[in-house]
Amino acid sequence: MNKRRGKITSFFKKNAGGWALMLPMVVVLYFMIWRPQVEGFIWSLFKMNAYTPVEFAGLQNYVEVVTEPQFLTVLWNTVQYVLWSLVVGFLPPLFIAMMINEMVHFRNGFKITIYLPTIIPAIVGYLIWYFIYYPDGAGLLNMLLAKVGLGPFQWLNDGKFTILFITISMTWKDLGGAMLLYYAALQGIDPSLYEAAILDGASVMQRIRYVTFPRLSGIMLLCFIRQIIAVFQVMEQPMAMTSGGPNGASTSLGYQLYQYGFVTGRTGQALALGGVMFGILIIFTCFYFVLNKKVEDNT
Amino acid sequence: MKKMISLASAAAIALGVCAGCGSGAGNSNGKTKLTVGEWPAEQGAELTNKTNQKLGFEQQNPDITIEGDTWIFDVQTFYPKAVAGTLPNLYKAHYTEADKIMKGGYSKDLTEIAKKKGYFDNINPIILDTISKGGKMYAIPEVAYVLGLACNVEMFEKAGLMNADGTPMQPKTWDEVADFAVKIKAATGKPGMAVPTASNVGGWLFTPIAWSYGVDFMEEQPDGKWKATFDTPEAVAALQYIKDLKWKYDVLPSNTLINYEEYFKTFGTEQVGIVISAGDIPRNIHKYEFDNNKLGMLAIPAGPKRHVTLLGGSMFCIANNASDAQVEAALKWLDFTGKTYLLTDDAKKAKDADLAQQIEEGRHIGIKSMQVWKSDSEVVKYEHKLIDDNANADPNHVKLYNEAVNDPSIEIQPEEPVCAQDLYALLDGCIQEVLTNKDADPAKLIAQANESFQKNYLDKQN
Repeated sequence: MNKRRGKITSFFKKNAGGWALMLPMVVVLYFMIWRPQVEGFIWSLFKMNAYTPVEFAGLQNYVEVVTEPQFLTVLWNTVQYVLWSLVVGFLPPLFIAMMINEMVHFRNGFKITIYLPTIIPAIVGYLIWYFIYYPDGAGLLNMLLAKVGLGPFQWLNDGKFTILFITISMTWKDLGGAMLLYYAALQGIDPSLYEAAILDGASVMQRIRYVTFPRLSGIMLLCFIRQIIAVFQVMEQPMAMTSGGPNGASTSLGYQLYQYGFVTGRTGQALALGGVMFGILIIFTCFYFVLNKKVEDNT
Repeated sequence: MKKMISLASAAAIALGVCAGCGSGAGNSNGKTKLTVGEWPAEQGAELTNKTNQKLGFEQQNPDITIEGDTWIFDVQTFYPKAVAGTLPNLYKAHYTEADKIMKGGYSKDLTEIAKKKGYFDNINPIILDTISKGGKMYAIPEVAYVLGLACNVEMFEKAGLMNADGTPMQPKTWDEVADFAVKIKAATGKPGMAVPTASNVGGWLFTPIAWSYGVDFMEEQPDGKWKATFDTPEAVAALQYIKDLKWKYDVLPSNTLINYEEYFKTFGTEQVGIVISAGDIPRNIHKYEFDNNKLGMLAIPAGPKRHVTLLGGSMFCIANNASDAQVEAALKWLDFTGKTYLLTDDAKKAKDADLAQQIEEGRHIGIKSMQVWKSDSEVVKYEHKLIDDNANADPNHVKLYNEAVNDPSIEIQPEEPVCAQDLYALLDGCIQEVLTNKDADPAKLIAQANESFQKNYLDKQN
């Protein structure tokens, strides 16, 4: 026993510097990530009175969350956010990065301009789009369309397209980050490969197909998974732009969780829905780490 | 190594569970420290006023120190703070949250001290019901208001809806409101009225309309369980009324996603003629520099079955971890700042200062809200005189509302007693559907909402 304790003490003594370096991060991780997650999961198994666990309820909160009639609608809405974001938002940053990479003049100017929306405070960005989409003549889009005799359109008020329009605003806000990632990757491609391809008579499309894409496929795959993970948690956008409406048409799992937790005071269900989202996202996260390792091994 | 880290993490988590307990005793240097919520955060008339009050109070009560806390009640932060014991000793909350606060035990039982100080016997009985549970009183009421109609007087004038005596015409029924809105739209080109639809505000303001159509949203059974009771022709008719405002009368704004802020912005920026609102509307629209002389207030109209309005307001609560000395100090502070029925010289000064501050901010003065203290009390008479003496707009514009507040023929009903926010959320959905879908069937929507309310909320409550 003493021998073992000695080993432990010497282990800590030997690595004292390392432990000291780690300590601030461990403290931050503990308070910001580990403790909330562990407690959140434990409390999701309890009947809650506001933020106080009252009695053990097993999986009751989970059952209540997934059997509510709107759960499937909200889940499908969330999937739609992800799908639309992949349709609308996955390729544009790549194409923009490729265009900037080919530019001779004003390259930095374009980069900064395209990155600008990313540094605008999120809520401001979404409110700008709220007014762009405003459904009467005061909305920017309706104003422009009125010049050519069209509209007014309902935009966010039209439940069939609300998610698509929110996704467009999300893409505008966030594509700068992905664009920079792709741009950095493009900059890392050896120019001699393009020169060799040109000498072999490859067209622009063939150069993209046979030189660019193979070298970007890893980062594209990572961005793809990261986008799914990020968009699956969408919350602020429907909250700021539509309050989840019309009639729940843009309510996402994240916004529903917010409603449970902070509006209707159903903390147990909020924690359980958080658990459900965690379960879904952990699959994508594991996938992401496996891919990330493969990409890193290949580079 | 991994085992070590796991052990360390587990220990840290276990220790952390024990952390964060307890709060300050509120006693420093032999003085009682009282933290007061909703302290103004920005420089301006309000902060100057509060600071002066604090200095005057501390001079009179050298054993008490007042410390301002800028936290303002909102549901998002209230419960975490309540559980963590970090609420200000004295905080304000809305009546809408009274039931949850009392049930959760987040407010001190003030019954004994309230009886001793005479509050209990002087509170307006309707308000006493809202802040009491099981015969015990858990808050001191601050303000109360009832819903009416706010109107833009200029638009009313253009639409020919003013009486010869300078009062806006009073629509007697909801159908008349629709007629008025049609006339306003014809005269001004702007939507005649707006209804909120989002963030539970739509459902909240729909309830008094539905009550007036004869709807009872829920009923307590003899066994104490609750039953949803609004799958009725009356509720369908009330929702059909909202639908007609859009598709038959065409008097609503194009935007059908209207939350609280958007609702008052629409009115405050003179985009609509009529909104349903309480008498506290000046605080919601003065930031849009709404011309006070254009603000009119009217009584809520009657429905086919009842003439009823909704009670709202705010109250002062004392956090449950406050010491007896802090409770005593909090009530002294409320007396000093003129928030109780006691009309002392200090209270008069405080009321004068509050009013001066509102005038400086450009708010409308002239609306006499419902009183939280009995109508024959000195404090009520003093407040009314202050308003009359300092009215900064034509008093005729709000005369009909001021009269309606004390009209016994208009019933005053507090919010729905159980799962009110969940009900509002469901009703928001119904309203949004009838306003965005011309073919929406109100009967089907009401039936679905009733079923969902029973199954997903009341059954779980029961």
